[in-house]
Amino acid sequence: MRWNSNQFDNLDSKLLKFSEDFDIWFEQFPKDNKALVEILLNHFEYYSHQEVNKQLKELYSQLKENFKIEEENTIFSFIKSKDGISNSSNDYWNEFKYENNINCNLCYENINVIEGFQWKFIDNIVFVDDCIGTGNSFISFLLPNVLKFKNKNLFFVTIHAMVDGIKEIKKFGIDNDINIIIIKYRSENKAFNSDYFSNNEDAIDDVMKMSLGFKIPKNQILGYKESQSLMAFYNNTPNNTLGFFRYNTDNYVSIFPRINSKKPSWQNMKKSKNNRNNLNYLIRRNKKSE
Amino acid sequence: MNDYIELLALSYFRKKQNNYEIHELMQILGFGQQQIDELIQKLITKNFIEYNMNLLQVTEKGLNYLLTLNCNNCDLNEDSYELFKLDKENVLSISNPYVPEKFLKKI
Repeated sequence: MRWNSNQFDNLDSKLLKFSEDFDIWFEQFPKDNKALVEILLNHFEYYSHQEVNKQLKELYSQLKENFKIEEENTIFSFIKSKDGISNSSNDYWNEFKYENNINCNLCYENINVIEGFQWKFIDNIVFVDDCIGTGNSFISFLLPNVLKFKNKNLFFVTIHAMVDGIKEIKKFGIDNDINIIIIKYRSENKAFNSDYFSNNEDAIDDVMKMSLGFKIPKNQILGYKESQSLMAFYNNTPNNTLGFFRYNTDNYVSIFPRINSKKPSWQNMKKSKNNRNNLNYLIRRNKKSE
Repeated sequence: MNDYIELLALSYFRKKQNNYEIHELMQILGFGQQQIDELIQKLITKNFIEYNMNLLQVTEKGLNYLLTLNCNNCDLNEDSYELFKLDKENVLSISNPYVPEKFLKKI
């Protein structure tokens, strides 16, 4: 595991738990898979609260020095979750504002409150978030407002970015005449697209078999849309991270479990309805083919 | 009221130390984004909290403020407010109406 800076000198609660639970966690892996897990763990990035804040300060300095942004034509915002409910990701944005002493009049929780005529005075929009996985969240967030962002500079300040996600976002920017600049602390390739293993195909097979053995759902094993990332943050673990690091099952306990707050049933109604419709369609189709 | 909220927030930072999360404080106080921004800004301006080693920490002035109000050991953790005399196993469900003892005789 690549421990950032001097994290061992000052363990946060998550690292403390990691050090206490490590042996029990590692015992769960079949003997033949331990070497593989060790290699992945060696390339795993954990970001403590202190490290995150340190980098947010550093990234803001880079932004000011390299791009000469000024208060007069710049606003700051963050990427809201799809459901619009505030969550722990908002803390990156909060700490970024407080630590860098950013003028609160430039910070927008909701950019839709900016009136039409005001947009012509804004050249730079700075977004802050913990990571870029596939790039989908950022692109989905930009899509409804694409006209507002045309010919403007969009800075995405982030701690950890996956190379494929960066490519997707850049492509989206080019296609829509938006100058998107990613200001990141670290970027990484997919775990099985790097040189960690002599044979990546075999390594993927081993992870798949091992994870299925733990009853981790197939779509979770390589992370969201197979983004194969190796990262965890002090407040949560992104769903882009390989499943066995973050997914708990009845017969497996992960080391950096993802926090998924239970949603009330009415928030899942649309999804349930879609699932029911899909199921009914498949049943009807199967009956027809019989 | 504002002083009381400042006191709660300060107690939170003192208790959590390096493990604080702004989001958690927002939930405890039932605050929205603008409210929490104003509160943190106020605490920083009053020099009750400051960034030290990249983390928000209670300053000496903040600690003294807590001490003078005898709140140095306040704990926002809800477990500390747990009613230990409550028999959790025999509590009524929220959907069951509570009927006081000998209620029918009083009608």
